Amino acid sequence: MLGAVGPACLYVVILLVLPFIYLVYLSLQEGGHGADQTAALSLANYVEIFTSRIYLESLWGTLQLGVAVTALTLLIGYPVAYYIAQSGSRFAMFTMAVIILPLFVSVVVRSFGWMILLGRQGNVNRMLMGLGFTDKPLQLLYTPGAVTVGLVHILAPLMILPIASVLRGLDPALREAASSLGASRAKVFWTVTLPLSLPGVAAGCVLVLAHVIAAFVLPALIGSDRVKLMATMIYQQVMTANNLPLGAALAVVMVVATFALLALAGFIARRHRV
Amino acid sequence: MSDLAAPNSIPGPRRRKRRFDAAHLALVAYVVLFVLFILAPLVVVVGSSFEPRELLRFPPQGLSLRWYYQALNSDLFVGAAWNSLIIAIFATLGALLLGVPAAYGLARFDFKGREAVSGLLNSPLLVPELVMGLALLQILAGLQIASSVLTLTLGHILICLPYVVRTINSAIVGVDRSVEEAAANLGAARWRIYLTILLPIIRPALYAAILFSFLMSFDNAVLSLFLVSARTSTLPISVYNYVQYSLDPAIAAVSTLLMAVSVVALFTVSRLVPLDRIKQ
Repeated sequence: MLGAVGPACLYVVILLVLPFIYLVYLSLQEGGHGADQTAALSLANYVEIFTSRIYLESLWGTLQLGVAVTALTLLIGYPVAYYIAQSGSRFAMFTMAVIILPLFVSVVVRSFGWMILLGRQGNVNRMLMGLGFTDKPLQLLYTPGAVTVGLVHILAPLMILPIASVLRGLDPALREAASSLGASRAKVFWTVTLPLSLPGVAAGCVLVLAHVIAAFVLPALIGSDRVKLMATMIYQQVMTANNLPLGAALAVVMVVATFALLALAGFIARRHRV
Repeated sequence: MSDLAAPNSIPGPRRRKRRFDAAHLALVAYVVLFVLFILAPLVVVVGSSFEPRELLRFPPQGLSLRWYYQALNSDLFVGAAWNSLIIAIFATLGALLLGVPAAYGLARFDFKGREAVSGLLNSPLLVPELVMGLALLQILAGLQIASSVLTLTLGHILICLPYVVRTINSAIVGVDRSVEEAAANLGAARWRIYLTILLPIIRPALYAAILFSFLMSFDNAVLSLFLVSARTSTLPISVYNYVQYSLDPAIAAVSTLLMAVSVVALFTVSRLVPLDRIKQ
C-alpha cells in the first residue's frame, strides 16, 4: 500500500507542500526591498495588506470582479444547463461539446481571441458602429469590462456542468406530478425544478468565484493597470517591484481564500452528489 | 368553448403545448447565441490566421498560408514548440508512473488516512497555479537551481498528477475486486494480474489520462510563466509574451496550431471514452 501511494504523496509534499511552507516563511519576513533573512519574523506584511489602500483596493477589486462574474455566469449559464439537461437532441450534444472544448484550449489563445474581438478595429467595435451606437471606435480592450466578459467566457463551463449534472439527476416524475396537479410550466420551474437544482448552483458559484480569484493570464493580457487584482498584484510585487515577502503574503491570502471556497464546493458536491 | 369545460377537454392541453413550443424555441435561440459567444474568440483566431496582409482582422481579406510559413520558420516558435512537446511527454510519463500506482492504492486498500492521501493528491487542483509557480520559483532560487526543461517538467508533473489519479482511480473502482481474486486463486502472479486483467479493462481510462495530462502540460501558461527562462520557453509562454507587445497574424497562426493540437487530442479521447465522464 505504502509502495503504491507513497511516491506520489512524497512528490506532492516535496514540490508543493514544502515550497508552500517556505512561501509562508518568506511572507513573515520584514517587507520592503532586499529582505533581511536574519530579522525576526512578523505579521507586518499581512497587516499592510489589510490596511494599506493599494492592497485593499486589489482585494476589493478581486471580490467585486468575482461577484460580478459569478452572477453573470449563473444568469447566462442556467438556461443553457437547463437546455442540455432536458433535451436529448443532437444540438444539445453539440452544445455540450462546445462547452467542454474550450476547457482544453490554452487560456492564452482564448484571451488572444478576445484581444482580436475587442480591439479598436475589432469586430465588436465595427458591429457597434454599424448599428449606430457610436461614431468612433470605443476603448474596449484593457478595461474592467473586457476582463469581466473574458472571465465569463472562460468560466461559464464551470457553472454549467454542475448545474446540468444536478438537473439531469432530477426525477421527471416530480415535475409531472406538479403539472398534473395543475401547476403552470413557470410555476413548476420556480417551485420544483429551481429549488432542487440549488446544490448545483451553489457548487457552480463557488467554483467560478474561486477561479476568478486565481485567474491571472486573462486579466494580465486584456486588463490593464487600472484593473487592480490580487493575482496581478502578486506577480507585480514579486517579478517587478521586487518585494517578495509582500507578494508571498498576498499569495498566502489567495490560497486560504481559494482553498476555503473549493473545499466548500467539494463538500456541497459530495453532500448532494453533484 | 368556455373555460368552464371539463378539465380533460382538448383545448387546454393543446394550448399548453403551443406555449411550450414557443418557450422551447426561445430557449433554443438563446442557446444558439450562447454557442456563438463561446465559439467567437476561437473562430476569430483561426480566421485571422489566414490573412494575406499585415493586419490582424476577422474576417481575413483573402486566404493565405504566409503566416503559417513564417511561424514554422521562426526559431523562436519552433524552439518553444519542441520544448512544449518534450515537457508534455515527460510530464505525462512522470504523472503516470506516480499516479497509476497511487490510484490503484486508493481504490483497492482501505487504510487509515486514505482521505488525507486523496486530498493531498488532489491539492494541485485546489492551489492556484500562480501560487504553485511562485513557491516553486522561490524554492529553486533558494537552492540555486537554474530554470530548465527539467524543472519545467517536474512542475508540470505536479499539475498532471491529480488528473491521472482521478481518471484511473474511478476506472479501477469500477472493476470488480473478485476478478483479481479469482485470478490470484488460480495462481496468477501479481504482475500478471495487472498486465493481463486490470490493464485491458482500464485501457480507455488510461488513454484518457494520457491525453488529458498531455494537454494540461502542453497548454499550461501560469505555472510555466514562473519556471521559464530566457533560454527555455514553451509555446503558450511565447504566445503570451508576444501578444503583449505586438498583434499580427503570425501569432494567430501559432495559436491556431496550438488549438489544433487540443482539438485533435480531444477528438481522439472522445472516440475512446465519453467526455462528460472525464471532466468530472
